[in-house]
Amino acid sequence: MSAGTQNRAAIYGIVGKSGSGKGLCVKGEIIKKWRGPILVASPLEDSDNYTEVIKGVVCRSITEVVSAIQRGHKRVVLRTGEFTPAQIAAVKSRDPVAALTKIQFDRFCRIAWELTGWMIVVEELSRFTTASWAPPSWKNLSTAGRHRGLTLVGVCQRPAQVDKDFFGNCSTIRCYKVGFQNDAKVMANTLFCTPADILSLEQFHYIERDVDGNKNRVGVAKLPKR
Amino acid sequence: MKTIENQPQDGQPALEFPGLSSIANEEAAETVQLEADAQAGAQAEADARAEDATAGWLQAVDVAGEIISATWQSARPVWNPPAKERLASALAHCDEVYGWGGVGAIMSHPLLGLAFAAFPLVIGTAKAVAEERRQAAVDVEAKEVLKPTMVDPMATAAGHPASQGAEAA
Repeated sequence: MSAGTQNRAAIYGIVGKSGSGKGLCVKGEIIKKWRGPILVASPLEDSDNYTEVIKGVVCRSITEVVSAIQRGHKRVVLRTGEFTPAQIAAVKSRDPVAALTKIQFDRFCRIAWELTGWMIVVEELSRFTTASWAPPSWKNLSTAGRHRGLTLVGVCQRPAQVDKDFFGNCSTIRCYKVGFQNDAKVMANTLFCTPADILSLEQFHYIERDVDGNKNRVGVAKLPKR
Repeated sequence: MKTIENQPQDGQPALEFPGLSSIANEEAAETVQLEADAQAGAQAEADARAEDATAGWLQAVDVAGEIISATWQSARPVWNPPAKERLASALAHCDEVYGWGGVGAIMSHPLLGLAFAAFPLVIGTAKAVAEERRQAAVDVEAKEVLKPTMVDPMATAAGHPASQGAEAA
């Protein structure tokens, strides 16, 4: 796929509390159907295990990610937020890991920007953005990623704590059960439904909005066959 | 789990992403800088800790020096500032190596408190005993010296035999 404005925006926003079924959606549907290269930012890789899901390589720094891509790997997972004690000690911040993670995520997004035709998956978006702040490189991805032929997947549990602009740029938003009223309000606003619709969702049930088609549908996550 | 080290993509053409190297270099340079900062910070912290420890021990050495100098005036020049600083520095080093727990912990030890309380008593008592002994020795000596000179002039005049020995001496 080549970069250009003819690329249709493919930006997925997947929302739901832990165990609601969003993992099944990302791993069992979106990634499963994708045959191209993937780059994943995975802050909870021990439990999410994207490396196994995409049969990729795991990296612990931006340098490793770049090295992997330049060596021809096309399925790459960055375990975010892993820093050496020396790095953590040197950062003058109340939360040095968060400060370093911000910088790391900015670089991750800048790498993603270069990867024409790739799928970019960002897990636990609330670890990288807030309702009022996101690195410019992330904003670039979510607003202009389609020009680069990128497919972007943003996953979060707490939509109220995520960069608001992201949902405004999604082509598809899928919402599973959320845990807080604030989150239900944000998603109701995004999906043009009521907070009660969101709060009443049962496990694995979702409301999905096709933003381009201006349509909502309800569904149930496909459970993997045992 | 695959890692980029154990799974080289043999046979795959290396991909050209010219923009990526500069991003990786940014991180690499930053990591080097952060690690250097951390090392410098740790060194500065260790220096400050050592300085604090030495200062604490210097106070203790000052107190000890004062007590000793007050007891033995002649020792005052020995307890001069450079000597005390060297001793404090050595004590701080021992404290670090043997894990004494700092001058505060040592000074609050009950045996050290006992030693401080007992020191003036022991020294004072020793001095008093020495003084008493010295005085006794002086008295004995004086008696010895005075004994032969105790001549009765009346006896001498009378030709008493006791006066003859004295005259001979």
